[in-house]
Amino acid sequence: MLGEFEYLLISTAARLGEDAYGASIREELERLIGRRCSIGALYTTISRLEAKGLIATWMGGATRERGGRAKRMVRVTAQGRREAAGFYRAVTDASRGVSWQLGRQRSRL
Amino acid sequence: MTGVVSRLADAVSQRLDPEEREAVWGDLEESGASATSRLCEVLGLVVRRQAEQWADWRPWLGLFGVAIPTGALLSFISRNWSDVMAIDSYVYATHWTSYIFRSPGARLDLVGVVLRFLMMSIALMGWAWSAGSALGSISRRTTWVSGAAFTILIFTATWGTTTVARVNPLSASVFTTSLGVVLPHVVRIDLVVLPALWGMRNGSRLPSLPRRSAIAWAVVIAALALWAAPGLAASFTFGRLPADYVWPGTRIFTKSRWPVWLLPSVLSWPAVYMVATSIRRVRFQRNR
Repeated sequence: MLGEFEYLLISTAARLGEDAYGASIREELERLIGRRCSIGALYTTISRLEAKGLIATWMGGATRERGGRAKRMVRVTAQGRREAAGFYRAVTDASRGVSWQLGRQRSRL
Repeated sequence: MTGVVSRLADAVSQRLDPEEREAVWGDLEESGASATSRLCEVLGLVVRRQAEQWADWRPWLGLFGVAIPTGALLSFISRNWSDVMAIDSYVYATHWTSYIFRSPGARLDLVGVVLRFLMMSIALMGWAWSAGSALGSISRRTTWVSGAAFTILIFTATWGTTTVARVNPLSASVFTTSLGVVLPHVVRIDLVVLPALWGMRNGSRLPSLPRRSAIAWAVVIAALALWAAPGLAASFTFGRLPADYVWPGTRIFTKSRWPVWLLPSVLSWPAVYMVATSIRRVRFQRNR
């Protein structure tokens, strides 16, 4: 089972497609979750997901705005897509019939 | 200030894999992070990477099985032996005369002292190198932590203790001279810390020695420990355990109830580990 941050990272990488690399994933994640994402959390999670076979990474091209340094490109593998789909299904199932009404401190089944 | 922080961040990032360092620096450049922010981000990643390494058992084996025991023992031994060297050097330096070369007995004494210095130096360097080599081989990525612990122990494990030579009124004055003050540090740096660092570097690059070399090295290390064992007991116990032997006027030596003479065998552990890894490597290659 994926962790929450792992799921967010895989989903972001899948959405970015061929533009998925460290900085772009980080920027998109920060926009989504509304808080800072550290380089440490990002890269250790990328390594962990790669070790699990859920994503593949490789060194990509360099650009001038990166000071001529290479990118670590990310692609979601078929297994990663299955795991992410499983996580999404679990969250959706768990949320079925639940209405989160923020501010009222109460949930209704 | 920014330049200093940038250089510090660059130094910290050296702990990362080259490809990861490249990607991280590129990401930070692209996001326009400040020097301080870069340092914090890189430091955070390095700490996380190190923490991951310590989830394995090998770094703990290196730290508690090699760095701490050998570091502590070598600290005591190097201090004790440097005291012996300081006294002998002081005696020859202050009483030097050509008679020493002309008299067969005095000449023989001098040869004996020089040989003892040589054996002590070889033993310290050999033990330190094999400890460093085992540390580098056990866990390459965490060697800097266990190596730092080893080095700190070399200089601090003897704090609060003393030696026979230092409390003996006949030799105590030697340790007020610059020779007596400087020599222990020189011995520890040149004969222990530098060979250990060399060993760590070697162990990181070549995780196991060829089997014959490893066995020969282990035999040499064990022989040195056996040769030095009787004298080493005093190095370890003095100032640490209850004293029950009294030198005229002061308590200067301890006689332990537990087998202190076994302690020098700890210095052979790294060499035994090197033999074990070389045998394992040969078996692994045969099974492939």
